[in-house]
Amino acid sequence: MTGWVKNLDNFHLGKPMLVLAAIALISGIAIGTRREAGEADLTVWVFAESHDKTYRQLIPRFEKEHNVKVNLSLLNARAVTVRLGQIFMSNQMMRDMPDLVEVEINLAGRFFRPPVHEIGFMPLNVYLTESGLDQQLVQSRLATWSKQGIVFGIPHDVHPCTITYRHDLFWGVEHADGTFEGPRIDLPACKTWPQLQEACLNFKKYWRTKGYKYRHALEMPESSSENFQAMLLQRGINPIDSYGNVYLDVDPRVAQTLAFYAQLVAGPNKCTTQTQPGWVAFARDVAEGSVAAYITPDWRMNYFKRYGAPAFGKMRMMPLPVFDKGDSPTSTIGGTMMGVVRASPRPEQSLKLLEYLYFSEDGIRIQNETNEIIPPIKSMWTNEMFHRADPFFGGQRVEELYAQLAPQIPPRYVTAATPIVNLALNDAVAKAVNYVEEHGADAGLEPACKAWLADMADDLRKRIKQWRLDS
Amino acid sequence: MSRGVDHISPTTTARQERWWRLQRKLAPYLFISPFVVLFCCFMLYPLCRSIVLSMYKAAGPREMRFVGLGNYKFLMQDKMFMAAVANTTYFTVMFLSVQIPASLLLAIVLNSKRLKCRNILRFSFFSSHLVGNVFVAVIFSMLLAQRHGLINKAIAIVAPFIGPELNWFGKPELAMPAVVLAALWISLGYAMVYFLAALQSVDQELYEAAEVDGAGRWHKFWHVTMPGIRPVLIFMILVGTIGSYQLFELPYVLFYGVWTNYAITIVMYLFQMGFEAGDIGYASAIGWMLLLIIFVVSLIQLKVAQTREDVA
Repeated sequence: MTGWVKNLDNFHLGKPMLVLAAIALISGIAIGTRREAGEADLTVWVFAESHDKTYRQLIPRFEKEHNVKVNLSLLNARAVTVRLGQIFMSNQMMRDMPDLVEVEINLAGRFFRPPVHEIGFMPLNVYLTESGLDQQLVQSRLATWSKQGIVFGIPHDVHPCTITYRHDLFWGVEHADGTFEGPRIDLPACKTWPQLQEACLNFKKYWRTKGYKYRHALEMPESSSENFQAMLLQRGINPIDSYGNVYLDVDPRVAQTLAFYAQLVAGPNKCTTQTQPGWVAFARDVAEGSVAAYITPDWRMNYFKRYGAPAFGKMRMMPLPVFDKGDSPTSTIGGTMMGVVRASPRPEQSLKLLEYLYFSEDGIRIQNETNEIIPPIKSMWTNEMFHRADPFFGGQRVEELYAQLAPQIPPRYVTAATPIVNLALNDAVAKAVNYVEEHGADAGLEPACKAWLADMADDLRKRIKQWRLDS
Repeated sequence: MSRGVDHISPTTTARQERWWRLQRKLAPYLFISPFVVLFCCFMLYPLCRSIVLSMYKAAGPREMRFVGLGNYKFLMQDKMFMAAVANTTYFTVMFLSVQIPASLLLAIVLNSKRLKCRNILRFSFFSSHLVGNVFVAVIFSMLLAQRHGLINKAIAIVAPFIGPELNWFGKPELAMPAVVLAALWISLGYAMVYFLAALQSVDQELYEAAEVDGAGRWHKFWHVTMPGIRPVLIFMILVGTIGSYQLFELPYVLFYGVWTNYAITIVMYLFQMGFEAGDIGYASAIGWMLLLIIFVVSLIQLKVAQTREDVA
């Protein structure tokens, strides 16, 4: 034994190489003897932990009822996009190929790049008509997952947006000694964006006089176009449609909205701030009251409850203010679809599973318990679970408000050009913010916005022409 | 059981000889074949394929159209690509002009025999390099967070007129410095190790001779140390330039979801076009253009270094 150890000691390539070789051997054995996941009849890829959690509770019953084995895999959203993209591009049946896949809205565009007959997902128009789902689902939500009128994905959600705000900071609180502290701002009374800005400026003024230098009225990023695009959607404007038509310079309201947005987040009338992505800074902002109001799609409501415990009972919710009379009092941010892979050998079973996960009573109930989002199927909105008083929001029926707003969400299109449109609009916001910081929101702002947008639209059209195979 | 040599017939011996000769001839090829096979499968074929792809418009498995140099032509007038090249070059210049002198200074300090706990300090500075880029980006996104980040809080204490709300990721003038800051944190110790090794290999007799000649600290550094570590210095600048032009993970995580023209790098743009917009052909063209940029920049650097050497 001692001799053996001594031999190891004198390993001719040195001890580090010996350790490396041992690690390689051990990990090789571990990989080689790893138990393979059993053969499944249906494979489902999801990217969200909450979805995975929901479906794991539902799948055993489906397996029992339909006598099939389902393999559910949780993958990173980007990994889903890259792997699925490779599968579609290689045009080959693969051993681990999924039957059903969930795709996130910001990453879905690339799958809609090929001509409609080449898209890797199964067209679902016939299925939707035959099942009657086309009448039951929120129509505008189907537009998101379609190309040139052909639907390729079933919406998992609607994600209507509201504004959630700290009632105690906007209105105020009455202390035990009978004194009242607060700016007495009735935020839900603001029906238009300019009214909301004025209310937010009053908020800022009040809290600055009280010594709160870093308390902000509204969360609104200075470098991202996400909320700007939500505002455009409220006005029924998509920067680009599913046919690749660009609207940035066609509709004058785009430049107006950009100019308004820029002077809201920068310059002398700034009443907003930006929060860091992730929950750490968000939780602290909510707890400390550094930010008093947030644009809140339904999926974000759960974040407040999970990370914003000190705000319990102090939060309230209201519809989005509008710009003009015909605008929608809501918008949409985020979204997920589930599609059946065209090459799936079991499309009917896949659709049955999809229906069960998304639209069964059990599915909706468990989904609501996990993440409290509004399902896209209208008949479900009458369910009692969407009409409960929520103690976190001071007893307000917030899910009822979401259900009321859900049918009014404008259609949002996702195309292969969407990532580039986002990049261009982020840049437009940055330019407009820079202008306001240098010159203020003077008369030159809107024409400048118009010129940038025209430039960007021109560039986008050139790109789309370059991409198109028929050009 | 065994047969003696004298029992082997001359024909068998000749056959064995031929077999051995064949083995001797083939053995080197056999030994290098695993590498060659893997290299051809995973490097050469993808490289050649990407050249071919860069000349196609690709929208699906059956939908590909040959466009010749069309992708490259479009790239030349692509404003976003130009912005990405400008940002990456800006990062490279800013990063190298801080990293090289700072790591050299650190190496000189940590090479001093008068310094106590040298090994602990050396390891401490190097240890940041053991952490992955993604992890560092996550840490820095927290450190630089508005209101709550440690760096912003420190700024608010030192310079109260600035306050804790510097928007590092949202301001064009702060975005790249934020990436440089994170990149320096990872790479200072790594470069320091190289310089440390170079400093230790400089001939001590040269210092003694310089001292005899009455040279001061600065003269010793300039006329003995610098020529001594010159090859390593050139190597570090070259490797640093190549690495900087390939910058991806740090800004990708730091600006997660909020990519703007003032913070996008060449590889980020390549990723976006290839994996998010699905234009594999155009992404391949960007990849080859990146290779060309790196090649030209490296060539210029080597040429400049060579010219200076000749002058010296």
